[in-house]
Amino acid sequence: MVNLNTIAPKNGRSYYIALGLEGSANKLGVGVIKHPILKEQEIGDHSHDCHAEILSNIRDTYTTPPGEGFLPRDTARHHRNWCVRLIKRALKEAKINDPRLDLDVICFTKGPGMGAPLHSVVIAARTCSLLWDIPLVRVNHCVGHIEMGREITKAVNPVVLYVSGGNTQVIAYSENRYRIFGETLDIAIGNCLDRFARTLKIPNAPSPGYNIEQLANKCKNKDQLVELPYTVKGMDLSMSGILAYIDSLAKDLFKGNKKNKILFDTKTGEQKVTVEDLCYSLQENLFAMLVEITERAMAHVNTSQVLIVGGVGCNVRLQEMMAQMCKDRANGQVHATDERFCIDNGVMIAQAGLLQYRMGDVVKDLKETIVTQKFRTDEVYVSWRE
Amino acid sequence: MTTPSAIYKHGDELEKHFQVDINNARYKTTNGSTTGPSEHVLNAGQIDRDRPSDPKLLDNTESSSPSYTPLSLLRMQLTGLQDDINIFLTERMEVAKMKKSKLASDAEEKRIEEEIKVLLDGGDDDNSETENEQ
Amino acid sequence: MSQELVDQVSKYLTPAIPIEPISQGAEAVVFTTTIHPYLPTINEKQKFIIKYRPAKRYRHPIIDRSLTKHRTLSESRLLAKLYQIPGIHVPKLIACDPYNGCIWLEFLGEDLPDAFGFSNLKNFLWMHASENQNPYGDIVRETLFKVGEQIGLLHWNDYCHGDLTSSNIVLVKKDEKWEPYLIDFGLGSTSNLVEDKGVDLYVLERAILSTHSSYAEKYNEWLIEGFSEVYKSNGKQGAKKLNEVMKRFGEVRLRGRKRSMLG
Repeated sequence: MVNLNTIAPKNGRSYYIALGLEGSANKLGVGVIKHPILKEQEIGDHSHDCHAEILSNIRDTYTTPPGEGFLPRDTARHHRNWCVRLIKRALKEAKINDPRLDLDVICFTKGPGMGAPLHSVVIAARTCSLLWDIPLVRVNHCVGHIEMGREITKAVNPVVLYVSGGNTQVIAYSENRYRIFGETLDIAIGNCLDRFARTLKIPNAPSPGYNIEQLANKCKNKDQLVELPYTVKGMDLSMSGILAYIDSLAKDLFKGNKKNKILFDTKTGEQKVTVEDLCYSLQENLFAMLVEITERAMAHVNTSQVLIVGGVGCNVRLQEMMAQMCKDRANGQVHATDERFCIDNGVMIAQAGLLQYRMGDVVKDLKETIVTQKFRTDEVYVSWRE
Repeated sequence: MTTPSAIYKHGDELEKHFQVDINNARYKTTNGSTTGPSEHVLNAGQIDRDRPSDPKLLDNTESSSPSYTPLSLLRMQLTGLQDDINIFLTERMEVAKMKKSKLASDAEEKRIEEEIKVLLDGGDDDNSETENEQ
Repeated sequence: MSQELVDQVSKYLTPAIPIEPISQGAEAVVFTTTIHPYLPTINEKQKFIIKYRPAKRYRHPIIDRSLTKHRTLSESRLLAKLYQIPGIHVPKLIACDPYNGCIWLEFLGEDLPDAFGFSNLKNFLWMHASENQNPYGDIVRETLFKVGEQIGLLHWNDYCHGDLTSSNIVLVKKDEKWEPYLIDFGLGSTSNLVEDKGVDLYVLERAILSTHSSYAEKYNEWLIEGFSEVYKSNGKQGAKKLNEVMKRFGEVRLRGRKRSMLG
């Protein structure tokens, strides 16, 4: 039986406070979260309902000029130079005057992510831990997303669609692991959208695909679609072919290649398709694939709840399509969070980390704080669920 | 006051010590020579908003000979030390790369030599072929 | 299954064809009926499967129409071809209406004892993993070996399933033994590419891993044993091809592990 109250809070308090540090990609996030001690949590799985109170949630994004991706060394530099400022602000906002006395635990992202930025943040975490004499907990980034999503939406046991710049996975819980049912066979959805945004020379802030979504909304001819490859393979999907194809269409459009009969009327030379149309078609096609594999996983594990997490999860059209799918299945429910929690943030690391801490999972030696680029969701033993 | 230092070891063959020289200007700034933004993004029009903050002065310091807070002193010394380490490691990387490409070109030369030898020997003889394979 | 959906299908089939809903997958709903679409009723107990792909309202109508038509048609074509290949077990195709996303099939399988549900591989494995049962018993091993053989035969004949999971394999009881039948070819294709075969095997391995986690290692081993047997029985060329497929399978798996690079 799960007992979340095995480790008592510091100084006889009736609540826990955790600091979370996240910096696995181009966003640096610092958050502080508070869990009250609840009687019912001694006798069963209430990990989705911790009555968590978010004391602060601060984020700063490393941005590059439109058309440019972010390099690891520049992203690491951003995190290095902003980390202290952000931690100070987060503590102040959370009204933590003396971290030595007030913090129970410091949680950091162990991976997956880009090596150099992960390093920048873990050094800050180690320093704070030594400075204030507070234990450390290492958190899997994806598990952070899942636990934050569950806490916010109170979804007990959903199929999780995790869609971000680096990941595209359909996940379901079984026997103390978050198991991956389906995933991309090549590039991630956010990466696909970002790379197309780069081709269009539009910025990729604040979240992957945000600006594609804005353009898609402006599409004037939603009855028509530019036909794209539809590449679902069982519960997996592939997106690199779609990206290559739509990239070539966009390039022909910019060059004004009149020979391309998909884009231009071969007789009159009139342009038939706009950039907005391309964005709309790309979204419709990719999201239909995502919803389809999610529905497959739901049918397979026999559940009616879906939780969408990760940066692309903010996309309103994706949420709409998912909601429609759920409506057409008996008693289906879709859960999503807004950009505060969808996009990478520190609170989610604090939430998952605090659950781990309350189950007694803490770092015993600084040697254990090595970060890793590759860290699969199903590698984590989920002790806080039944 | 003690200053930070670092040691780099590679097996038994190499041990390099890094020390701070408190009089050298490179240990008196928070803007390192190797820790700036990359050329690539600057060329693409990046505006650098991620600079490290300037070191903090003590409250009652004189501008003619400024004195800094202990933490800021440490930050400046670490910046210089990090530069030293980065430069050293970059050099080591270059050397390693050179060695690798030298090895590759050596192998290439040897291959061509062998081929020529085979040609000169006639090369169509079964025996010579097996010899070369060995 | 929502009543709306049942009504929709009933309307399309007309009241002359009574239907009994049995399952809702992600892509299709499955019914049984006692009426044959074009032959007279021979006995009262006869049963047929109607597989209906309803329009998916979440996706754009153009994508939806094209997928429904494409998948219904390609599933029918594949079933018709596979049915003729000796050794391969698939349900017999009776009728097909691609524009309405509907196919009729022969009925296969039965209910497992003790409320373990319909006799697909998933329920069968779960039944044998339950209390007082042996998850590694001979019957399990033998059945999984045969499933592997079916997939081996499929690939050997240059077909891919595209969605291999333990729910997409139906077990039919013959003389106290279970004969596996492959169903659900909506994502199937003809392909001689090693890549497609490697992905097929990888999809199955992961499905077993996520649905039968505690026993997955042995189960996958037995499946591959059966799979390999088919190739090995085809002499030198078979062994060579098997080597290629298994090598690619390993590569696809490795790609899978590498994928979680970024957060």
